[in-house]
Amino acid sequence: MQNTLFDAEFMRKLETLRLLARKVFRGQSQNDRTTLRRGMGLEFSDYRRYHAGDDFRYIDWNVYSRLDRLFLKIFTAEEDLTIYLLVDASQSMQVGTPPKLDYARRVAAALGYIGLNGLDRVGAVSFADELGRPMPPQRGRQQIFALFRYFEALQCQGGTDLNRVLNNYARQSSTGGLAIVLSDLLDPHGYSRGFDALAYGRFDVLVIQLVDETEINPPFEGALRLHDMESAQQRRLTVNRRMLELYRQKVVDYFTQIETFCAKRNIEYLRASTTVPFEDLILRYLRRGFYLH
Amino acid sequence: MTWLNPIAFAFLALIPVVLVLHALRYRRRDVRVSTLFLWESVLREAHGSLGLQRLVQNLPLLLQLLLVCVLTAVLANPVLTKTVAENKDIVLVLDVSASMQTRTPQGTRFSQAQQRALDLLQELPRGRQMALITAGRQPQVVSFYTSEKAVLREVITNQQPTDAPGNMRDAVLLALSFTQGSGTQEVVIIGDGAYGALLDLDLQHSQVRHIQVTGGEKNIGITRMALRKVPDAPDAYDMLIVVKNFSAQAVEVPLQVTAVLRKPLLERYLQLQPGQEEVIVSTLTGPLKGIIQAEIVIDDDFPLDNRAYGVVATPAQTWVLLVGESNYFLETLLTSFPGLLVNVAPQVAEETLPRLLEANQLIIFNGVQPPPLRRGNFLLLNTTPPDQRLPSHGTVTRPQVLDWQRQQPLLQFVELTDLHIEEALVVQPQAGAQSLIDGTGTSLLSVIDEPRLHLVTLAFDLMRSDLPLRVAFPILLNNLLRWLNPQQDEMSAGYVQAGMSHTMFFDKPVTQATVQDPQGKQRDYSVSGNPWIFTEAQRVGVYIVRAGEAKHYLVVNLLDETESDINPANKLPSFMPRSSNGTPQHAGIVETPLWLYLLLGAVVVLLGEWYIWCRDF
Repeated sequence: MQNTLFDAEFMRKLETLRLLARKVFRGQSQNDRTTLRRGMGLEFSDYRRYHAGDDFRYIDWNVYSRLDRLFLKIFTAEEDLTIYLLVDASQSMQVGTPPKLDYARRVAAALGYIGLNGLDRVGAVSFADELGRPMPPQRGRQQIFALFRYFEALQCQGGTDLNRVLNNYARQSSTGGLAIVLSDLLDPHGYSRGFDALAYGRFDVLVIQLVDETEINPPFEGALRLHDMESAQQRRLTVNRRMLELYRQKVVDYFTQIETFCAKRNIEYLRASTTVPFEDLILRYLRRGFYLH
Repeated sequence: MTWLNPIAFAFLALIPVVLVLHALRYRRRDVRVSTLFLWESVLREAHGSLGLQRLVQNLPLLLQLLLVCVLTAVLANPVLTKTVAENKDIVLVLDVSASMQTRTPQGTRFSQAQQRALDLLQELPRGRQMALITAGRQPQVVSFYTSEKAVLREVITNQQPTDAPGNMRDAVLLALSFTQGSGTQEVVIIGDGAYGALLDLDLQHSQVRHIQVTGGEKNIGITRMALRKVPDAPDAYDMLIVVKNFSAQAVEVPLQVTAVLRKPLLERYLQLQPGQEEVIVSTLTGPLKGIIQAEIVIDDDFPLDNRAYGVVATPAQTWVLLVGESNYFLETLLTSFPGLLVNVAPQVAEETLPRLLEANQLIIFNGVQPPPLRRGNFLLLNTTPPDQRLPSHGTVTRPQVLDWQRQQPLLQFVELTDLHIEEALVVQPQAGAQSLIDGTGTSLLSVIDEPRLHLVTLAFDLMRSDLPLRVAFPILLNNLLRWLNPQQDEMSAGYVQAGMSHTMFFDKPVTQATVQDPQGKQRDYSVSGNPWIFTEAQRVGVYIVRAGEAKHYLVVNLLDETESDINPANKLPSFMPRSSNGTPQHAGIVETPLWLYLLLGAVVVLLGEWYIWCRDF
């Protein structure tokens, strides 16, 4: 099947990468990621006394010969990681050249590919003011095309309600994992409660804020009627240089506020402009931030 | 408040036009943005509130509407009205004498007077008129009756005090001639009251109001200064300076006399008690020439009289030939003139005349028939020349002086009223000659004025008239000598009090003279005759007149004790007799126009509109 999101060479580069989670999660299948569970992994963890019914294969006979007691070797279980890709598909994501949604789905697809290629479980869901149809976490490289199809089918619609959407998603999700939120975070209702729900739940959260250059430096001036793409509200104003400077300052303040919030919650935060080629975002910036290795 | 032109409110119809134009012009561009909440916080911060923001957004329109309203109000000509008891035409006499330059804590006395005059103008009732007369050395009608307040305001504002003594008496008499004794017209005098001569006028039945401006009390001034060459002593000059303390305190004041290059000639400290006058007489020696300046170095309230000027000019020797009968009065007077040397001859032949003209600058024929006169300077007494322009036919007994040309330099300051003449020649000046004193049946004084010939004929015998016994005689002869024998020296000088006219003689015909005033400004004047009367010596200092190669110094001083005495004068009473004809006085209505303030407001609104347009709010 032809992939329209990125070319084969880029996919080959993605195959060398793995997603990192800072928290340790309980997986569903055996894999090479360390989990909280003791089990059948290769890495020695501890000893404990033998109890009736334990597997004889894990009794350390050397210790028994020295101490004349039965001790069981305990190993750390190595399981897979569940990666949740939450993609903002609200109306505001169609802004920009390329539109932020295009950029978001390519980034999400790349991260999903990395995850599936690393034998992790990858799930995806789009959201606006409501959660979209989710793609449940699945494992195996054969799922990559389903993932691509999911992202290609995304359409911008509705407003943004991050608090409600992320809260709902955190409650609905039965297993924890790495939640990667791709959004412009331009939500007048805020974002804090939604991210708190994810961070205080079972998720390691990585927020990738997508920003278009026109949102930082508006290319208009004069007497305008501004239309909000999501709420259909409009505001008449005359934009002059002083107001533009004030706006830029407001944008910077808003971004700084998000950054500070994420830092306090131990949420990984990355702001990406759509002017940056998304390959660079994946291969350079995410690696530099130790989200990939 | 009254609207004098209410029809102008029709211009308010422009408001809908402005609204329509605004609606057509002011189209906003639609822009889709990701979110508005950042812009709203920008708006909140930029304008405080959205309400204010809306106001700011519509400010250009509001200002345009305001502009239409204000301009309509301007055109409607609103006036504030006030009722006043006084309802009269005013002849305003404004004192512009030198003492009005006295400094006071509120400015000069003159600036105070100007303000009082403007206040008076402001209170002039509707329909009433005002005339303005300035009381300088000569009263001058600056503005005749007019009700145009703007014109009067400009006229009052443009007035300046002069350096000359004032003549309030004549100014008030002139103003009274305007009122004709009418009860609806009054004379208002605004001045400092330094005009005692006004007291002898009978003003009891006149409508005269006096507004006195005061202020300034310290003055020490030079009230006299004179320079005179010491007879028979070369390079020696007697100098007289009088300094007076007009203040209430004793002062010590340094007096300095300097030459033109600031060479100190005299320095003296004067101790002056209140009212004390100090007379300084000194002899200046040395090769002096040019301007001498006397100055008292003190910062008082009337600095104009702290300086006085003199000039040292070397007079040339003038030889005069007196031909004919001996005349005691004439000879005595001639020999009293400095630098004048007199020769006497009983008769002159025609062939010797050229040689005599080389030796004498002036030839006087007293009662003897002169030979034909073609060039030179001549004074003929009781005789006529053999010239058809001045024919003589017999005599006339007891001629009366009918009229004389007072403005002619020859007759300046000459008073001939009731002159008694026993007998005079009958002279009838023809074309080319001019009669200056007209008597019954004859011309008593005639002149021929040509480039090479200056001839004056006095048609009667001095000894058969009382002219030699009158003050007019030396003045007339002095004028004659100055006119007939102009100064030969390259530099001449004259003294005059500020505001007075000065007569200048040129030895060669000139058509233009350049005058440099005390401030150094130069101005060219066309010279129409010789002598030439210079009337613009209004400022204290030294005027330098250049005409051809001749250079003439004109020293202008104040030297007027009345003007220097800046002490508050006794308040002059105002006279307001009841209307003699019993006409009831109706209250007047004073209108204060407001259109100018509204126009200024319109300009401010326009500037606001322009500012908003520039800022692209």
